[in-house]
Amino acid sequence: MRIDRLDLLGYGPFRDRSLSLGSGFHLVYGANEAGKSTTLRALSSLFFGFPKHGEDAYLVGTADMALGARITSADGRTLEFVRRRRGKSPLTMADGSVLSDELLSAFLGGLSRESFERLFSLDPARLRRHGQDLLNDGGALGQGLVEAGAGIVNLRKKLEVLSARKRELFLPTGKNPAINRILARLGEIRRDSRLRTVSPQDYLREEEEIRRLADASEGIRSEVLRLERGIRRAERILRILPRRQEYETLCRELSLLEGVPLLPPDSFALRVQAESWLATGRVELDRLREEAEGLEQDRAALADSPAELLREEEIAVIEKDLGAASKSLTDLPRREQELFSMEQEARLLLRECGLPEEPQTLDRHLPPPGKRRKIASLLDRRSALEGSFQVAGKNAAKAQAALTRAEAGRGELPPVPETGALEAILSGAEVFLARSEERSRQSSELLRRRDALAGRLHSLGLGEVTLPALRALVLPERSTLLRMQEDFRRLLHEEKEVRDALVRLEQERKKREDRIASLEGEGEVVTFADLKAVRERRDAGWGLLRKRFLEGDQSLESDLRLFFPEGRGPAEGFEGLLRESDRVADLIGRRSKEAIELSLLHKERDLARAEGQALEKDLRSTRDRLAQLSSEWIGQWPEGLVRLGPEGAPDRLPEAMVEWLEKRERVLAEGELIERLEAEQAEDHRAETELTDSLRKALAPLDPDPAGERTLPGLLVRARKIMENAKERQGRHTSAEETFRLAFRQSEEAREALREVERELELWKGEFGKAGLEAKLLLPEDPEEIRDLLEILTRLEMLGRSMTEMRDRIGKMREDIRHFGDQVALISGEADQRSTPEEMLGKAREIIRRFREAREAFVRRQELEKREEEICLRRGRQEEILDQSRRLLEGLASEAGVEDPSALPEIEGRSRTKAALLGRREEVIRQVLESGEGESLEALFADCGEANSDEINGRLTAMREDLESARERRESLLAALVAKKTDLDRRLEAFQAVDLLQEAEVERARLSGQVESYLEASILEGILRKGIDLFRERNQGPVLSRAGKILERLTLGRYRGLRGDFGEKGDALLLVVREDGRSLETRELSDGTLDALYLALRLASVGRHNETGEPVPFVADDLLLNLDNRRSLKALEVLSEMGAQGQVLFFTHHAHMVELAREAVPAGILRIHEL
Amino acid sequence: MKFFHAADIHLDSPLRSLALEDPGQLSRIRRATREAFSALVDRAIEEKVSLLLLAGDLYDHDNPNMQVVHFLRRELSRLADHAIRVVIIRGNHDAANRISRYLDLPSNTTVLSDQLPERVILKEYGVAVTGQSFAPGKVSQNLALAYPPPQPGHFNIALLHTSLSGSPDHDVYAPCTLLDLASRGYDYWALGHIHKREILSSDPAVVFPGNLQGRHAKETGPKGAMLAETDGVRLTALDFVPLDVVRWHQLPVDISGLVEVRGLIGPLREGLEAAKRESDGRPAAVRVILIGRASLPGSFLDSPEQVRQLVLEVAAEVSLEDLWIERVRLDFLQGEVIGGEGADADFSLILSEVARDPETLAAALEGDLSLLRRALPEELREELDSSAILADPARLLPVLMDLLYRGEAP
Repeated sequence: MRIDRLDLLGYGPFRDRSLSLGSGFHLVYGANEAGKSTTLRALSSLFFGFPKHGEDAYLVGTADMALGARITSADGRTLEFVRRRRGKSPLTMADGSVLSDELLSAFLGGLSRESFERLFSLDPARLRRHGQDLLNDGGALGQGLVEAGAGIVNLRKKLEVLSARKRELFLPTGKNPAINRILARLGEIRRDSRLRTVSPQDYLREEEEIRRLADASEGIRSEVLRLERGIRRAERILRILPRRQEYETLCRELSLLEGVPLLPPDSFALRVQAESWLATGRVELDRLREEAEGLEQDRAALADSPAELLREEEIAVIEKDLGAASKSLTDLPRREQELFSMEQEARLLLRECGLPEEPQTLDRHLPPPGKRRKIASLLDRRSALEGSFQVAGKNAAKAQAALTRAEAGRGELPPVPETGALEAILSGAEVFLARSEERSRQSSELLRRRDALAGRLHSLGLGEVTLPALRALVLPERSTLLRMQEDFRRLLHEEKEVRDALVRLEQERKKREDRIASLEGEGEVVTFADLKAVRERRDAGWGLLRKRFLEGDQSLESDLRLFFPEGRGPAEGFEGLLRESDRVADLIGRRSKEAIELSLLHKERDLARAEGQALEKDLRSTRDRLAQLSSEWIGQWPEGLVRLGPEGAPDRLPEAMVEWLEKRERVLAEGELIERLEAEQAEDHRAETELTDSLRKALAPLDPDPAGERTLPGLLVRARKIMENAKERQGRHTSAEETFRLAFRQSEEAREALREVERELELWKGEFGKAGLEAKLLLPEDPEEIRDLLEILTRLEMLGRSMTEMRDRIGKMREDIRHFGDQVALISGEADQRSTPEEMLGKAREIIRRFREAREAFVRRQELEKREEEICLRRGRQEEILDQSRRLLEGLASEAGVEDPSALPEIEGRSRTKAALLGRREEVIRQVLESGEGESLEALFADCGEANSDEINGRLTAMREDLESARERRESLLAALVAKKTDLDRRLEAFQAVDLLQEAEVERARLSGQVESYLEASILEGILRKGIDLFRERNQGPVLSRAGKILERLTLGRYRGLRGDFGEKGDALLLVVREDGRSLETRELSDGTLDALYLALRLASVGRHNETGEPVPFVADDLLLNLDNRRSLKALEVLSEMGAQGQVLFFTHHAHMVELAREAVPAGILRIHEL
Repeated sequence: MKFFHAADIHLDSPLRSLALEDPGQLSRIRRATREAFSALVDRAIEEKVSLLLLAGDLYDHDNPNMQVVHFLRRELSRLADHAIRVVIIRGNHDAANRISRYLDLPSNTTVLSDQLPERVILKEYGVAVTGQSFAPGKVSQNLALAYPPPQPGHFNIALLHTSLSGSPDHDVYAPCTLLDLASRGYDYWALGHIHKREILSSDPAVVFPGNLQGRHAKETGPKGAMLAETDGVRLTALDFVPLDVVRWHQLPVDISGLVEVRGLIGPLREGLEAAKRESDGRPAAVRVILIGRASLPGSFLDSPEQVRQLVLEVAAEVSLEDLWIERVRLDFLQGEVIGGEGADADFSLILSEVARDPETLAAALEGDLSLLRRALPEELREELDSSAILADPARLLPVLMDLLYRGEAP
């Protein structure tokens, strides 16, 4: 597939941009940011869809991104389509119909995005990384081929990742990998599970032991019980023995008190209390009677005065007002004096203001406060206005002075010269001069190129030849070239074949001669020819003998002597021949195999000789034809360019001359470029002269000091200075004009401000006069006097208020005194009598005193009456108590069976003794029964029998010791039993194998997951390794051979090729063959060579892909940055060859790469596109 | 009277394939089968049943461990304390069990003979129970045919451990047909052996109660026992009582037509929430199965671990405690990953070729895998040999492509 046209309809910085491509080598040049990388991404997006995040959507929106293309497949089918980001059908054909992904994929040969992006495109960074990978992989051939063939990075590391994953999961002898850990845990669980299982045998054994312990414990328990019973009985007897004795004594004492009545327990206390109440009751009655008499007397002594008490409310009023009335009487004269003083002061002030001296009617004469405040505020305003007037005056004077200064300054400035004509020329001259550095660089570049061209002209081998001569050379047509190239190839091939055949013949001959020599050297191997020869000689000898001796032909005597030359006679000689022929026949019979071989070898020798002669003849004929062709070939070229070599062939064959012709083309192109540059240089020179002249003319009227300057830079310096000078003067003029305008405006503003203040002052005067009239005041001129007047008026206003208050108070006091006097008169019944205030106060005080006395007497009588009632009640109660006590004593006596209560104390004593004895006997019985465990008193006393407490104590000690020991034994048995049972319970309940069973199952489930992971890693690794081997097997031959040739070119012949070999461990290794035939491993190569090696492998893989499948364009992104120019040229040549067979898109933003491409790529296939 | 019918208790059989990481979760299921049996006893006491029938496979295997005997004796004694009779037959799993020899049965419990059909009559309720235990070894004869005619005037229950006419998930034992059973004249056939609950007939009642606790991802749904009631003449009630401790679920999620990973989360969450809801407070052990034709973008489905992590995250959102993912099975059809006609120089095509030749690949892996195989327990060895990815290595190709090209800018 090749791209005929790429449409950047809306992508990155492009909108409706088309690149016309087609087969060949396309160099896409663009400066930084021109959209080179975007165009590269566009290719991927075009064929495989837009990436999810539209990073190239900055000119059009993400939704409007669109790319299109026209592509042609290897078999000539074409497809024109558009891919949009938006819409249900992103792919559409030129006619608007939907294009399926499958159809597009078929044009790409089913290539994936990854393969396209990795195999068919390359940039310098990846080139370097891949080169390093070749080194890191240790030169593994398979990996190297796959990395180059599939564009995968660092295959070794990926294999290592899989191995590491496996190692993390499982190692046959490891402990830490996950699977090993789980397996170990499973083992632990299995062992633990065995320990936790309680087998039936175990269980029975444990149960038997428990039963035995329980039985033993039970035996000891009955012994303990028996002992405890014995001890309890002995202890009981010990407790009952003293009780039995006491019981008998009590019984005896009680029989003595048989007739004594048992009085109730409280009879004694009752009697004592009744007697005590009788005594105290009598004393109390006497005291109460005396007190009642005393009270009667006190009451009779109190006086009666009810009249005073009836007027209680009226007297309370006088009592309340008495204090206030007496204070008013004291304060009144002082207040009246204060009022008088105030009136005096008011009169003085009124006089000062010129107002009537009438303090009582002050309100009427004073001006209202609002008017006074207005006058005060007008006074303040006047001071402010006067201040403003002074400031405005000063400002106006200052502005006028500034205006005068500005006017003078304007008049002093020099005039501005006229520079319009000069300015027009100057800008052109500046631009011209700015390029002067570049021109000088171009000029030196031109010189360098001229030198280089001379060298290259010389290197063409035509001696001192000029460009036109080179251009005019008569050279063979291309068809002739091709034809003769073919002829040369054929002839040289024929010659080589004949030479090879001769060499082969010679080798065979040597081998054969050796064999013959070895066979013949043994002396025992003869050929049939030998036999035939020997026999022929024998027969010939016989013929001679027969003819000479049997037929008697004497003439044969000399022949005979010649035939049998030895000293022996003919007979002996003939016998010798007979023996010889027999021997030879024998030898053939014995060594027939060797004989046959030797015969064949002789025959072969003859045949080979004939073949050799034929070949020699062929060789000569071929060489003749070659010489003829060579002379024709030499004749095609200018004299001396092609010469006859020592071998009879020309020193430069057609391949070399094709290169020569290409080199000539490049030299001619360079020559044309130089000529064009020279023309440009001349044009520049002319322009410079013109500019200089016009500049000088324009300067003449302006320059006061020409100093004979002729050069353009010098003139420019002067012109710039004059222009600057003129500009500076113009600036000063503008600035002075601006200053004057500003000063004028400020002076006008200041004068206007002064006038404004004067107007305000006039207005104030009118307003002030009006305020004086309104206040009805005759205002003085001096503002200070006006302020004093205003202060007096304020003081008068305050005095007026104080006097009014004082008058009100005095009036009130007089009214209070009068009212009090009326009340006192009313109470004392002297309403019509007039008395002085002092008399009135005395009367009031007397009335109050009398009322208080009457009230106290009344209260005292009431208290006494209440006390008499209380005493009467208490006397009644005492008499009742005396009665009750007497009746109680009588009742007690009758109960004790006596008539006189005084006999009671004795009977009570005996009754108490009897009751105590009875109580004690009950207690003894209770104690005995308590320790008797339900037995009757009689039985318990009987159980004691005639027992002796010492003997019982002895028995008791022995029994207690026995019991202690039995208990100890039992406790230890019980402890053992409990421990045994607990252990068994624990083993049966808490510590169960079933728990581990589930845990083992969980571990097995986890193990299953890990095994799956291991299997996955193992399979992935297996597929990858097998894939690498298969890839190597299939591609090793063609790719290595092709890559070797490319490497040879890229390294300028330093390396001759590539080969595969097996390393020490039997792994396939990639080796590089050096110029001298030595093979190197990748680790012996420099970085640059590694890059070249990877590039060679990659280009070979691409070539192989394009041969075996649908070809795809190769995209290089500034690929040759790391290579020097010579290598870059070679690489460009290789790429241009790829381009000649398909399509190469070479992106660059380096201008020199364009030049290199022009040099390396034949013009017929090179297309340059600028972004 | 009320009676419980349970079968296939498989005491102390572990729950399978749960790769639990949390020890708390493990402790919840350590004794799942025992806890389910204790729950049955609790429920029998609570419901005041008079009889418990156990139709075979009380134990899971013949491991003479007195712990399980101890447990069983305690549980049966609890029933005895409440005057509940227990009638047991042995099934194929516990026929040869030596544990029974050490088991002193409480007086309420009867294990029926393995030589002849035996009958227990509960006079006070008018109920007769007939049955026969399995003898050790393969029981291939139709035992039902030898059961005697029913006890006249009684409600007749027959206990039988049988595979009936066969089920693909269970081995064949004491085969018989439904007609064989229906024609014997019994009122209630209390069957065991098949782990799936099923009422095959209602008159007479022919009932498989299923097992008491599901033990792996194929034994899904509620598990428990049948609670029945009779008036001495006919069956008056028959209800299922769930008693399982953990409940198993299979959750198929159809991923056909999904175009983004987010689309998977919704159905997944719904399914998991339903599983949790249906588990009724128990832990739910769920096997998630992705089915359908995948068209999800990117390489999401290519990484089983990534898919599993997603499922675990959604599960943790639904419930941190009670939702356990047993396994995530990828059962979907994947689109053709590598295709097209290309040169034999295309490495990806060569990888595809290698992956599609499992025999050659297996031979190449033999050395590597045999070491692992030797270290594994027997059952995992079989699992390894029958692994799906070993049979179809091509399904790993996307993973391989991802490894080769991941993180590498072209």
